[in-house]
Amino acid sequence: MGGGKDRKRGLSRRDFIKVVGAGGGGLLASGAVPVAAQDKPGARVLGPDKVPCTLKVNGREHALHFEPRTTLLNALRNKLDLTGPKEVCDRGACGACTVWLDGRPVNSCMMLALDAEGGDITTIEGLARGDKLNPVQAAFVEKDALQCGYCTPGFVMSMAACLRDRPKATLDEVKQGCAGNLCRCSAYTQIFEAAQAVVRGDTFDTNVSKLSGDALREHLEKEGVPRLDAPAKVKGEARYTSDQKPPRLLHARTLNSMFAKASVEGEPDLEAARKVPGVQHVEVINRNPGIGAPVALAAADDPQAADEALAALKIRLRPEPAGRDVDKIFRDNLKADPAKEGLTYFIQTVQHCPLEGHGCMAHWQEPVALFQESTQGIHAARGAMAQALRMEPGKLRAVVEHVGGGFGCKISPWSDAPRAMRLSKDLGVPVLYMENRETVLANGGGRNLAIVADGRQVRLGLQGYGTMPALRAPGTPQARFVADLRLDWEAEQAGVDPLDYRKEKDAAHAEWYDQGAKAIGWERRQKKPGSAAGPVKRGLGIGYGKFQSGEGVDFAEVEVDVEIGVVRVKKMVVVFGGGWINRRGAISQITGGTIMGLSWCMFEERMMDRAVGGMMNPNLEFYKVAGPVDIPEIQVILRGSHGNAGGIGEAPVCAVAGAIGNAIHNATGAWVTRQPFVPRNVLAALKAR
Amino acid sequence: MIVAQVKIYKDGRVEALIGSQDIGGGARTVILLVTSSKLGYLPLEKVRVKIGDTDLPRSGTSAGSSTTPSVTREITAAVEEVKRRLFELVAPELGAGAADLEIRPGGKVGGRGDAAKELDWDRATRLISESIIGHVPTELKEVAIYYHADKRGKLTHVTLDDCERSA
Repeated sequence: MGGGKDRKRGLSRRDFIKVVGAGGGGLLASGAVPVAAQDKPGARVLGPDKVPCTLKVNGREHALHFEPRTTLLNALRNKLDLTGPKEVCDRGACGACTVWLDGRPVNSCMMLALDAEGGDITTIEGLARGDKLNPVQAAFVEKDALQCGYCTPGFVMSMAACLRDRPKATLDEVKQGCAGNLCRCSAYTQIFEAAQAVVRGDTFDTNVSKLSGDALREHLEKEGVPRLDAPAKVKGEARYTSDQKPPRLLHARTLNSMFAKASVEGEPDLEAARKVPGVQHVEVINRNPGIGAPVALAAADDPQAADEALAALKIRLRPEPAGRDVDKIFRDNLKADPAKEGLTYFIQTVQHCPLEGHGCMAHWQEPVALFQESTQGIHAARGAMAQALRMEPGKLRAVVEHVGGGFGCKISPWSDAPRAMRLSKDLGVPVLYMENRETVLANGGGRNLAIVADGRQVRLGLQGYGTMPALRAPGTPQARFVADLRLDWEAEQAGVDPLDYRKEKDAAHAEWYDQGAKAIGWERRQKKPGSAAGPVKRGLGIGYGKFQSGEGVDFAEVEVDVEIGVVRVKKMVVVFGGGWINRRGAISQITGGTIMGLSWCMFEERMMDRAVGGMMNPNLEFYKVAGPVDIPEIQVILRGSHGNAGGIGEAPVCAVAGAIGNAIHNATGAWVTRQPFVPRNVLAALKAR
Repeated sequence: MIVAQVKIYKDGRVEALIGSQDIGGGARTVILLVTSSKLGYLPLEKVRVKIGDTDLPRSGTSAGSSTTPSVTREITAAVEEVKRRLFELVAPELGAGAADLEIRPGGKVGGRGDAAKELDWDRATRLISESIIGHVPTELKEVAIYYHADKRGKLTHVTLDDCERSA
């Protein structure tokens, strides 16, 4: 996606970022002329004051006034109250802000609103014709192509443009068509099915809401129903915490440290920050922050004004040596001889990375103060807020209608939510305070673990590296990875087929293994691992996972290019048992959990600067999560029964790394025991083979 | 303390109220389906779900794959309670004892084993004067106690969260 054709002003947001990044946000506010504008012959200099701009959105023209640096996304969300397009990465990496400009999808976060003047803008809110959904929206509802729904408006806009231009799109073209969008819940399988249903011209006329009695029961058993909030989510009408817009709202933004330990050098320029138009409040919070901790906060009537005020502070952080040398801990414990004692494993730290970060819209009122928090537990959130503010819980009301993902990082109430309520009380207006993407990634995560061959576990202990809340199926995926590779290693030592070895060891699941083996075509595995000719080798592997009442056997087929160390997962078969209420919802949890497990073991890694404990990749360009083109075919064999309500949100992530790791071994003969399975780790394992 | 509430209105509408939250796992839909299924698979359009608010009956945090099992248990218990109240209203009409009534597919209310004597859902609920409510009280009075301390760790005061306040 790009910015579309050249527009009349000829000044991209990148030019602004360059200027702001180099000199601090104060430059624009103080009236200095942006260098980029001076360089362009004939270019007009706009601002620093508000300029008029007419935007044509969803067929209606709006005469607006805003600062020239206003992004199209900001104008849509905050000048026009079109909150369907979401702000997630704020740098064009995730596609959640996708809208159409003259019919072409663009990342509205990467474009200045002024550059969209004269163009025809369509947002998710303008896609349906009255009550009649666009075919892509209807298919998303029917095929359950969403979970939390935060990415959905962006996906729908990308997909609707793709299928309008290529009505006969193949699966690969569908994946390419939404390749710039990320879904952290990983409803990709259903998103592709929805697109293919549109290509086929499927119509969805079953009005399940009127079915009753046995007809409804049978429908639920065989097919399940679309989720209740799907229509609101595909239309961009679902309001998350980030979308709350009570009158007189102020947007609070923070500057957060990315170092384990740091101190603020010199005096932040509070005066300059307070001069930024629209800014109501600026404060330095913490001069000695830990990682992810807020250093300074600004509240303004516009989020970009708050960001500009933070830049105007010109805060310089001096990092201090703080981290622990994780590699050294690992090396010191690597004493075992793999040939005799087994394998040594290293599990990297991965992140929750929900697309909606922690956030709180606080509205201080008497006698009961209201807040909306993006949380996995509203009652716990209220308790924590009451505790922090030393008030009776009954004087607080917590609300959350929709949550943009959590995966464990929102189990504990957000520690910074009370800051929003205190600000609201002090300033006398509602305050919306959302965590920025860097902080979402720096604060959170889990899984970090090394396990040496003799069974000792070495917690790598990321002290000073941020908080480590529970992460989907806490503790289990890493334990299962170790156990699954161990099983295949033992089978190989014994000269037995891993499938037979498992069936013998785990007779209760023999039928599950057989079902999966048949579906993946187990007979195609390399009888002797790594023996296939040529540099691109295929292999098959098995894993087993269990969490609470759900359990599953996974089979993976991979392709490994042994010359460059690239692994591609071609197919997954998941034989899953556990009770379910809604068939569609259950399958979506299983495929989504499988993809999240795949994303963790294949791509994700929190990269730390060992010297200063700094997170080096706190953004969605360099913290890579699985996107549409990374998703293999996933076949789910559901063994559970309808009506027997179990929880199945976590078990599906547990068996994936083992199945893929064993498949890599089958393909190459190498044990890749260090995750993620990226070329660096794969090539090292191939060398050690 | 109440953990879930199911209301049946005179016009046949049903409301399931529970202070849970939907983080993308589909809890809202699960609550809808469980409520409908426990009322003879009542048409989904008759059931409304309200979640995500501390003014609603207290439910737990969405964690540990526990939401579906726990809301299912809580909603089922609330439905059982509201059904008992509905049967008390319907029993005289059917000339049967309330204890002998059951909900049949499609929401029909009738005596066990006697297909002839039954009322369809809308006729049965018309006997309600405005609405009837099924609560799930727990015997366990779950009270959260918060100890507040100053920066030096000295206890300053204690607050209680009894999870209810007058609406």
